[in-house]
Amino acid sequence: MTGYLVAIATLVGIRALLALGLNVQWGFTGLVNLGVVAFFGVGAYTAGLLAVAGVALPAAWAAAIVASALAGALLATVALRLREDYLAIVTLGFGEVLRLFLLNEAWLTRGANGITGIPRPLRSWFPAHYDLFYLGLVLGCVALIYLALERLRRSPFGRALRAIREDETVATVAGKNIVRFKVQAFVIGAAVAGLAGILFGHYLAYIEPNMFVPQETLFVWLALILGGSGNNRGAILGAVVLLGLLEGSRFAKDVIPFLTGVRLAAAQQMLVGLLLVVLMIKRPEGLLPERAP
Amino acid sequence: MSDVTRRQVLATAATGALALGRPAVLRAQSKEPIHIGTLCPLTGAGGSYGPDMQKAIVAVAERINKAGGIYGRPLVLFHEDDQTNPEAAVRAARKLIDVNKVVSMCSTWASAVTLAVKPVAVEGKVFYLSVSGADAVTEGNHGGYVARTQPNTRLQAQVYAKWVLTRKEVKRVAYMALQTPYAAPFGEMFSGVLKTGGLTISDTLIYEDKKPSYRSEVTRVLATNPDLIMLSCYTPDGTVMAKELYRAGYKGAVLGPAFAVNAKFVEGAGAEVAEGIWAIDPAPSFDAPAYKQFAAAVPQADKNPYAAQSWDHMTLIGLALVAGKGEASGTVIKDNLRTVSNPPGTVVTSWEEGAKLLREGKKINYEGASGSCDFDAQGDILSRPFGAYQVRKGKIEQVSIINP
Repeated sequence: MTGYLVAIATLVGIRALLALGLNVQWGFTGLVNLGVVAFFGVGAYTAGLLAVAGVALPAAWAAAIVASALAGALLATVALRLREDYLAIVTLGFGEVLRLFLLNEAWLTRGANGITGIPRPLRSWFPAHYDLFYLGLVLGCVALIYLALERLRRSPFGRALRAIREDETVATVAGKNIVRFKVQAFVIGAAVAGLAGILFGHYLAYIEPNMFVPQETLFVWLALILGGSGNNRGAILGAVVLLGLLEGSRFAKDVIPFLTGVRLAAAQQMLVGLLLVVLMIKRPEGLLPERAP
Repeated sequence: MSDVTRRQVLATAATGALALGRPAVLRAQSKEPIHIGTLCPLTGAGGSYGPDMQKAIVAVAERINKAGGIYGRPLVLFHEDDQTNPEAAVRAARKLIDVNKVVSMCSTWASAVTLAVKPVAVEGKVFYLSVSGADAVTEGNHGGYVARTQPNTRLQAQVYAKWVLTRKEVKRVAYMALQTPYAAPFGEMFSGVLKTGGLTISDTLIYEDKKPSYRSEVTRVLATNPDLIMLSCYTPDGTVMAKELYRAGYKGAVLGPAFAVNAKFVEGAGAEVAEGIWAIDPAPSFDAPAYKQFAAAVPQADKNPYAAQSWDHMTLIGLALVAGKGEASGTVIKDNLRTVSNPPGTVVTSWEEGAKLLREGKKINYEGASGSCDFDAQGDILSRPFGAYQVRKGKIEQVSIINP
């Protein structure tokens, strides 16, 4: 049982990082990023490919974060001149473009085969309780990012982001360079998603393009909206609740005797959907609504 | 308001606790049960295969329990859906291993899923069988905990190519494949054998899934004048592709995998479009005694080549456990797999038959519903019969059996 809980907690931690990253973009700044999975993928692939090629892990990880941030900067500079809904479409498209790139440019990404045998960091140091160490690593990253983003939220920079979210015209009149702030917020979010990708790839030890489908972005959004947009703790709680629902329903179906096969699987997904709807009716602002700092 | 959340948390926790306390899926005897996990794709791209695969596993487990279990120990199955999604499958596998304490898991379908679950199984010392075809599934050092009943890409490609070489009218062959982990390696092997046999590969094209139209792909391939198009597809994209080829007026032969060119394919493409399309597949041995038992127990599964493999998975696990004298662990199963599956030994075709001989201290060689089930050291099956089929008047007819 502990092994299972540790595994789930690790995956919750990775999802929490994604939700924290999106929170900077959507929660603070109001940027609709439907391509979260793309930056997740850039992080996972850059780290994975470099690590398999024998690059030292710290260097590979740094490169992966830089690559995700760069991808974010590139997309943001092009797309942020567009209005909200157009940004959503462009980012959604970017996610799919990246997946198809990973699938087809096999000379670089190994295509549909994916990358097998991604080394696990410091594996030999922890022969017995490696999963616990890895959970510690993931939770450490979550804590670090959470503290940094809390600081950012309270800083004048965070205030400027919220001002832009509430009313761009007012922020402009106040002398803020809107595009620059937006690009910065987008890049920070992308880098955090990249970090999540790194941890994901090294945890599974195997990645392939179809892990980075739009549905993953949807889960990140669900977690954030469920937990409370604009609230960093909400982002983390959202990830916990979402995976809790997915995993909890797994056990619920074990005790419902008359369901078999496909019905079980469908019931599990319906149950998750239903609970989400109920939560959203009872708590439209999320479990932990945003608070002024 | 917060009451609702707390209650839900409690409810989830309670159902979880209940599930842990009551794992009685197939309770028969009183001795300590042996836990086995199923990880078939009930939803997602593999959703049309998984349910029957799971049914086959359940059917075998029920037979084993009815016959008294493994030295009196009943099998208890735990079912999880791999969702045809690697990450979801890893979570499910973790649950099976750490919570349900299964000693073996069987029958994931997609190669990507199997590759993601493989390290989890190996680390947990759980014996793991799949029906995935990608070469990487059995590559590397997995300590013997991984095996599969699906022939690897190399064997499949050779069989397809050798069959094409028997068609004297074919001079130019085009290879079209859906983007999957085996599309490229299959193409290389297939084209290689054909080139050695003196044929020309007119074009090689790997295409994307879920495109609304494949007109540009078809136009490009037909411009190279092939006599035969090898279409490595799944049913949905294969149906669209067959229609496009028909519309473009292509008169040559089309060859595809029989798991894609199935009844649904003919229904989707229409009998006129599908007429004459060839199909090859690692065939279940339709005349084998094990297959007949399988078809009788899982009636609708005869159109599903993977369900027969799942039947063999559960039977092999059951026999290996008997060979281990009722001691249950992944290590026992992997150490005894080849003892019960490979020659030498008396050929057996069911668990009951094999278990009886094993208890008498005799050697056995299981011949399954999906083939002879003989494994090499790496966990790949050595050989297996293939079937060649053709769509004739809207029906899929078996034309010949190919033994590689």
